[in-house]
Amino acid sequence: MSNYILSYTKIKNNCLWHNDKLVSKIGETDNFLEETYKSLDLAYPKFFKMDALSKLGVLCAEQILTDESIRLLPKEKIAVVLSNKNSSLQTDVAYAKTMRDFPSPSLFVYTLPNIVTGEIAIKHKITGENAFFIEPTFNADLLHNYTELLLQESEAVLCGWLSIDEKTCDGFLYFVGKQTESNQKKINFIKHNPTNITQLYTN
Amino acid sequence: MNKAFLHNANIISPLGFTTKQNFDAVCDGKIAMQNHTFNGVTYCTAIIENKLLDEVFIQQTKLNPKEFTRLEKMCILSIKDVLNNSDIDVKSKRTLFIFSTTKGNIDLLENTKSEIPEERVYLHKTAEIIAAHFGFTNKPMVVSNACISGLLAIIIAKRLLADNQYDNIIVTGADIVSTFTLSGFNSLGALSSNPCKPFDKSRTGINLGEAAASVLISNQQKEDGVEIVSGSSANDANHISGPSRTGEGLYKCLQKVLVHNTAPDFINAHGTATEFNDEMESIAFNRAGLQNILINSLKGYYGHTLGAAGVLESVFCIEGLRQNKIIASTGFEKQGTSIELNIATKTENKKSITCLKTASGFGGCNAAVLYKMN
Amino acid sequence: MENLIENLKKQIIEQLNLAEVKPYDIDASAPLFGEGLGLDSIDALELIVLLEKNYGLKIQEPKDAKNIFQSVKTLAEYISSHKK
Repeated sequence: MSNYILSYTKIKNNCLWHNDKLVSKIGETDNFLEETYKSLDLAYPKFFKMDALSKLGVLCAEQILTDESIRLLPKEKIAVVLSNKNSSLQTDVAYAKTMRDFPSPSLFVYTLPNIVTGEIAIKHKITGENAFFIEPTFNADLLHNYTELLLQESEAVLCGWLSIDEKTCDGFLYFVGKQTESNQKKINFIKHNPTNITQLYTN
Repeated sequence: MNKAFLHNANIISPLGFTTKQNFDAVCDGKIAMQNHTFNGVTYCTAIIENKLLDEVFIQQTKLNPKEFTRLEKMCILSIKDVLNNSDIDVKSKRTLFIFSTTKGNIDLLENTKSEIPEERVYLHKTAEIIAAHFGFTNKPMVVSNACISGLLAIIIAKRLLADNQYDNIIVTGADIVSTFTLSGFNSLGALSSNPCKPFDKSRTGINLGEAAASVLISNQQKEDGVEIVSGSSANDANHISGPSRTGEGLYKCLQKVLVHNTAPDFINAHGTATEFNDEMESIAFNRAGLQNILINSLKGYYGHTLGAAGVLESVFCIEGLRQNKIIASTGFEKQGTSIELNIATKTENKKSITCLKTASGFGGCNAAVLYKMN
Repeated sequence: MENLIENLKKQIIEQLNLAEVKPYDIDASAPLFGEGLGLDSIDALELIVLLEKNYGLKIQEPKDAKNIFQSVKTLAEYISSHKK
């Protein structure tokens, strides 16, 4: 049985896109992630405590995981497979600045790339498989390959690339699953393969 | 579906530079933690002496130790030992190197005078440097998933081999002790000022340790090969730094891994010696009906070696199965979890066929693997 | 004391990234943890850092923190009675 990309989101150039639809666009700001959060009316105050990588991931995941056909899937069968180049480097540098005088515990807990996985899992009660890969650039082959392996046991996989540094904020998450009765009418099915993944990411 | 077997392995740690040296030291009850001072603060931690590391590195590789970081030297020595004892072709497209770490060369952020280019703080760069040394054709895969990184890398290797994508995979897990991690865990109040006491009533927290551990995993059964029967990960979806009170994620892993409901002969737990981790594990093991299975933690010998722990401790599982030996859970004296566990209090000979290895980490992640001696 | 309480409210909001909370939202006598501000264990550790950084006070026993951090008022009382 084939697997499909059922939904995807992108954050780039101060815009948040969901399945080709512009959800939010913020003008010139130093605080793009927080402004986007406010524009979405999420009512999740914990958001402000997160580091930028987690904020990026939570914003991207929100659109996908609140979709009705996806919300009904068994949460223990949804895997989360993420990747980036920088790991948690931006937060590492921020923590390192505090560590000689007053090391900050709330910064230190974010100095791992997979904390964003945990934040997404907590917000949406997802308890399936996890993996975080570090790659020099977006690697559709790796994500596709491992996702297909996981889908032998999991129902669906939330995958993507979440990259933050001083200059850029580049988030792309997509949801891979099977065709079901509840989703078949609604969704524009995109076959799960590296070409389609790359196309969605670069478009 | 192909099977996956663990073959040659190595551990580079304060207790030795080969699997044998490490296994023998632990059987003799040696503990790697000592008091060391970092930036004026004294910590009980397990570190590899720089001078010794450089000496062995020069002797083994004939390379200039100044051109590599501590972590890279440890990894290169570890992989070299594994390759020396095997005939696999690293240049083959059917051979893969998987690198697992939490913080990689994080000490480069502290040491601005280092001659090492700053870009080596990127984990993929570190992996590329190590891979280039051996000439792997495939580019390395890098897994960074908190304290389950090492075990997760082994699970990923098993899945890739089962799908017949490779013949041989080298998995290396490594992390160093740094001011970064020491000050961070200290700020969380998670460090013990004495050698840690996993599962004990008077446990007060973790020690940090450093190590690089490597294992060759292949689709071929050879003499002494230990099979990876099953492996799985799961998230607690509860808290980013606090273990679940119900052991939810770990319990889910155990359900998935112990498919035929057969209990393992022994369990090598995560057992970090924090109040909440050990308590969480006791609850998860009890929920899975494993509370009477003999169980140990190796953190009392090595401290917590973060991204290396899953690989290092798996090497001990393999050796334990090969030598029919169960290692004492050092530091344990009195039951200290709400569910009583059957903690191994002395190192003893015991015929074992299967061993369960578990790990849990920040971000709410958990992993478990079932090993079997064929 | 009133000044100290107002300053503490501002510092807590800043240190704990309570972006949507204003000082007047915080009742000085209300519990800091559990209900209300929704603080957790990491916030408690961050409050320990706040005390050390801004007031030079070091809580030696983590168990003491529970009483000191009951409310902004108890925190202020602790600071004024321990400050050198």
